[in-house]
Amino acid sequence: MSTLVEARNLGRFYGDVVGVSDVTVSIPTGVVGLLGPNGAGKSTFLKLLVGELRPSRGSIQVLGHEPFGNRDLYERLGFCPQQDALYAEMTGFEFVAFLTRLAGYSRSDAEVRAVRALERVSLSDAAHQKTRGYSKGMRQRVKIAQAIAHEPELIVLDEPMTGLDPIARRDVVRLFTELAGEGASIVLSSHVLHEVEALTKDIVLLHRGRLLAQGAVHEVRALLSSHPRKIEIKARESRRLARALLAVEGVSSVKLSRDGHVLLETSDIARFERDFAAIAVAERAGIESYEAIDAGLEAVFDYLVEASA
Amino acid sequence: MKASTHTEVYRPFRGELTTRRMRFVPLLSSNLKTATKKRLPLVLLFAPLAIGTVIFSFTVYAGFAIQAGDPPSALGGGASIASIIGQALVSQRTQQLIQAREMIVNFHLATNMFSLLLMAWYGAGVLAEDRRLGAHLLYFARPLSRFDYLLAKFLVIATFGVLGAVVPGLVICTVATFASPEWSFLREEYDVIFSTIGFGLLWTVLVSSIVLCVSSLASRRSFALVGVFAVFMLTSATASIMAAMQRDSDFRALSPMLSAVRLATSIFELKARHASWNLTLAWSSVGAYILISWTLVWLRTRRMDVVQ
Repeated sequence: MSTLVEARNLGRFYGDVVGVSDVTVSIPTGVVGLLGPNGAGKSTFLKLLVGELRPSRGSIQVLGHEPFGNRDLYERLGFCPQQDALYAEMTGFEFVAFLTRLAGYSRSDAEVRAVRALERVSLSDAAHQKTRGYSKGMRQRVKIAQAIAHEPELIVLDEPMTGLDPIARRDVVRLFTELAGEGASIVLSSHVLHEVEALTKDIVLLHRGRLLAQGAVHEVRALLSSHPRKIEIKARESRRLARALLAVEGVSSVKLSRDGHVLLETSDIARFERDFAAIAVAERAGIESYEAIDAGLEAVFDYLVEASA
Repeated sequence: MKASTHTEVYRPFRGELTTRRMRFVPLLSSNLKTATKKRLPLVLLFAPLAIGTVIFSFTVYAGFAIQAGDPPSALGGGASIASIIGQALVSQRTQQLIQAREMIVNFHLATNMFSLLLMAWYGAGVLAEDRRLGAHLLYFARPLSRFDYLLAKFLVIATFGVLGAVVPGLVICTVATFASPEWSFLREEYDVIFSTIGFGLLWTVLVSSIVLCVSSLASRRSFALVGVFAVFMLTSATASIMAAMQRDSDFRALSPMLSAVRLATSIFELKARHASWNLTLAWSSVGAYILISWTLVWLRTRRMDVVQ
């Protein structure tokens, strides 16, 4: 099993409003980040993925099945929506147990699984409190718990880290990593890029309902040839190094920052990386750090969104 | 795209799921449990019905007891002055109260508003709150069909309807059965029991359907609550005004509540002032309200997936 989601010319419209349009994407097993600014169509894509929406055009297959109205498939999915979705009068435990029962488990099985799921999201202590008293982060975690309680093959999370404090965020990232390690596949959406970057390098980027890019972040970045790569180097002999680097083919600019860092742009990163080591040794520059500052998800995202605007 | 994290690991589904088809049951039980967590509304809403049931039950019991020449001790019993006064008071109404059939109908008509209030209070939020909170997104990502979902929501309201409109009537019938001399109520008026169940269920289905419909149309529980009373009050007012202005009682069919009253008189075979207009029209009206309500509910539920 290698392909988790297969979408072909997928479109979903709300009257005149485009949810997603003409999206063709193949998502493999593993952890995949669905990225895009607000209104990009991420939630619509996820609802199509979990079978809550019928495609207006095209098709989507999840685990080899069409998801819309496919109840056998729903048993294999876990979904954490963006919306609050909690009943104020229920306790976290009741909420998770009830939804696990809806997934098809007996009451006793559901309760055991609810306890386990709440433990995994570090919510055992508050499990028997009413959700009305939960903080935003606790509410988010209880929603994640209901999505993982029945141990689905595919966990779909819509903005799962919204409202989490840094510690809870770190715990949740760790949980997702554990789940992925256990073999669950995860598709999660976010517009906070570093959250996704901490989890996976594989992304699907949507913007205005259309697929903008897909693949590993560095692969996507490499495709953006119109933007030179920015590199920051910290060296003992930064001035001498800067002068030498100017001569490298493809380097379009070299700047020295006030704190002595060398900031340069190159349109041919492969060549630059090949030549850089030799120059650094020859110039005895004393390299202390080397960082491609726009190879990250944030920069890729900005470039792609800017290009499509 | 290559997932570099763990392409070699894959977790097939190994859980054990129940194969039963009644997936609406967990949703129903959970919703009922949640609805009854707040004690105060529960007490306030059920108290008038409970008090009414006790009073009517006692009156029926007293009527039969006096008829049998054995006044209840609560009225003084024996030959005391209190007993004589009690008997005198009761005997004035004996002719009227002894008619258990009429009493039960009167009870139904008197408590209609309370059972409506009960259903409206507990039913107004069933779809509106799900829509507001986005809870339906969790349900529809589970192996739960829309039919199961709607059935569960309908049964939540109907449960309160049955508790408000059927159970009290049955309690009075039970009292009448045991209090009547030689089981005369059961032998001669047994059809009242079936009529009680029949009318109670009809009223429950009618009101539950309308409440569910209004809840599906409203964005908040409070709006739905106001909407339910607006539907019943405005249609009743309009129907009464039209009937008076046009001097045609058939206009009462515009109101689900007046139509239900008309059906009550028919089901309980009573000759009352309410019974002077077309029965078929009353049935049609009730049927139309139920049909329209379900059509709207179905359409609105289909559109619950639209981004809020």
